[in-house]
Amino acid sequence: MIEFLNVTHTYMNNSELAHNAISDISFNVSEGEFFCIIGQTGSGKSTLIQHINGLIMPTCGKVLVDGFDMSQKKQLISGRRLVGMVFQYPEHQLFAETVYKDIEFGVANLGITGDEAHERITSAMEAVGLCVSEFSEKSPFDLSGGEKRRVALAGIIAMRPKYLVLDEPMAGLDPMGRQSILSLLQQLQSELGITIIMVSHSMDDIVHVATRIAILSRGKIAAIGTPGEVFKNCELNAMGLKLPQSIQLIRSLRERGIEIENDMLDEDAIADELLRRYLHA
Amino acid sequence: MLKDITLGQYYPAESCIHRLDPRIKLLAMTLYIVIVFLAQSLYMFIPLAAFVTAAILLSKVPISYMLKSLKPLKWILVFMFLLNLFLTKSGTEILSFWIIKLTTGGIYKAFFISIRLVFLVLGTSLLTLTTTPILLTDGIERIFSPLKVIKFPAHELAMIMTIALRFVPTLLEEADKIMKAQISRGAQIDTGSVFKRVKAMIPILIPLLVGSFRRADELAMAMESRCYHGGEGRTKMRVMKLTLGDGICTLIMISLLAIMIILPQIFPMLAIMP
Repeated sequence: MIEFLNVTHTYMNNSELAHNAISDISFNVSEGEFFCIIGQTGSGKSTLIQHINGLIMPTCGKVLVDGFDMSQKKQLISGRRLVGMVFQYPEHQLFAETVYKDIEFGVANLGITGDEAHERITSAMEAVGLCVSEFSEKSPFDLSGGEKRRVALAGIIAMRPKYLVLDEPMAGLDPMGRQSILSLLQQLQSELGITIIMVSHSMDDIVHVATRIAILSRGKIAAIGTPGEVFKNCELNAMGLKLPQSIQLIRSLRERGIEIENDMLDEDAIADELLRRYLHA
Repeated sequence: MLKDITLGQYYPAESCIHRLDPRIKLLAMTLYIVIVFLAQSLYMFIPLAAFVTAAILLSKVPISYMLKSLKPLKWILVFMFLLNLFLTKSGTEILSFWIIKLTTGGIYKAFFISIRLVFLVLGTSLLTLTTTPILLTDGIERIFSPLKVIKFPAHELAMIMTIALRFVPTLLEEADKIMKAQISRGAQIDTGSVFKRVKAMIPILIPLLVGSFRRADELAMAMESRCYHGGEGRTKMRVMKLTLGDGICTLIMISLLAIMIILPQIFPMLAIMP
């Protein structure tokens, strides 16, 4: 379990330019969840998730990963092994001569070599949909943007983290690319039981995959809960966020007198439901 | 991690020093450096100190901020002080121990050189503290533009400086991000032997290099698509105009120069080192 206990982070502490990126944040993420953090640019999302890997230390409060206090140096190392971190545009961090070697970097840093390393690397490549025989010996710099991102993701997945933290993993990809990354993450969560914590600023991407959503606004949690709860109770427009299109559709149908009980249907399911009613009428 | 590094240490404030024309400020600073070297004794630092104090007060830059600019210099200062203290052999001998000899001349010279260095740094950092880097490069371009006649690329030079300054924070941010990304992949940057640490820099330096080429490429493309073709025939958005303040500043600098030249002529004892 990942626990945030009253975490505050102040940038440029002790100077005139000091400002709180996040203030007094507390929440838990349980194992097996697909937890999404949503908020406008500048709401503190990236700052928040970097705490999970101890890359940023809280100014006040505590972050616990499976009970390891990430602000204690000794516990930090153990905690870090549990958390895989995928930054925005992770393809910018590729450096090795071949795709294989780049994915190997993280695995080798864990002290894993030989057959087990090879097994991890190839299975990570397969997981992200990169053909092992085709890509292993290619230079990562010769790949397309989407392929590079897959290599970067494989580099983290090969480390077999218990928690996978991603900062806008779909940014700058086309709709097909977005969908394939999203279904990959869902697969990791449901088949391998990896807990996923994902930052996004688009509701549409996450509404149908998230088990829980936290909405971040000006460094504070404005709402937290299942997607249904959050969309029912929270004024998203006031925070500069848009409702997912499927929910907008359901609401405007409702205004026109067509009642669809289940708020959480996706566009296809709404179309099926409408068609069913039309055929019955 | 790298966020705490401040470069291009501009201090935003509304003051008459901030408002001065960057060309005048640049020329005044050049003159100031000459003036500092004109001072040949500790006494001659008194008018200089009065001038610097007045300028700092007028600029509204906090004294603590000014003193911070001296911080990176502390080891050079200590080194210069000790070097002069023990290697100058003039005046009366105070202490003699093995090969080390302490003389009154040495003490005097050590203080003299250190104070001169402090004056140099204070004056020049006042320029960078009160002028934005963009204005500064603009000023440099204008000062050197008469040299265009002899094919001196004043505009291109200023543009290179502007771009370099512009990308310092961007590259720092990128380096920070890549460092964090590799740390979370288990890279150990700050432990191990020197050899190990150098090797650990590779996963950071290569993406940084690739990234800066990517940015350079993008920037060149963006500039070209806006029809950038160098300095020829290019007009300025900010036209620099000299104001009354610039005139006063010039007068003050010239009178300071005059004082520093004339004073030792009238009072010869001021110029002599004991």
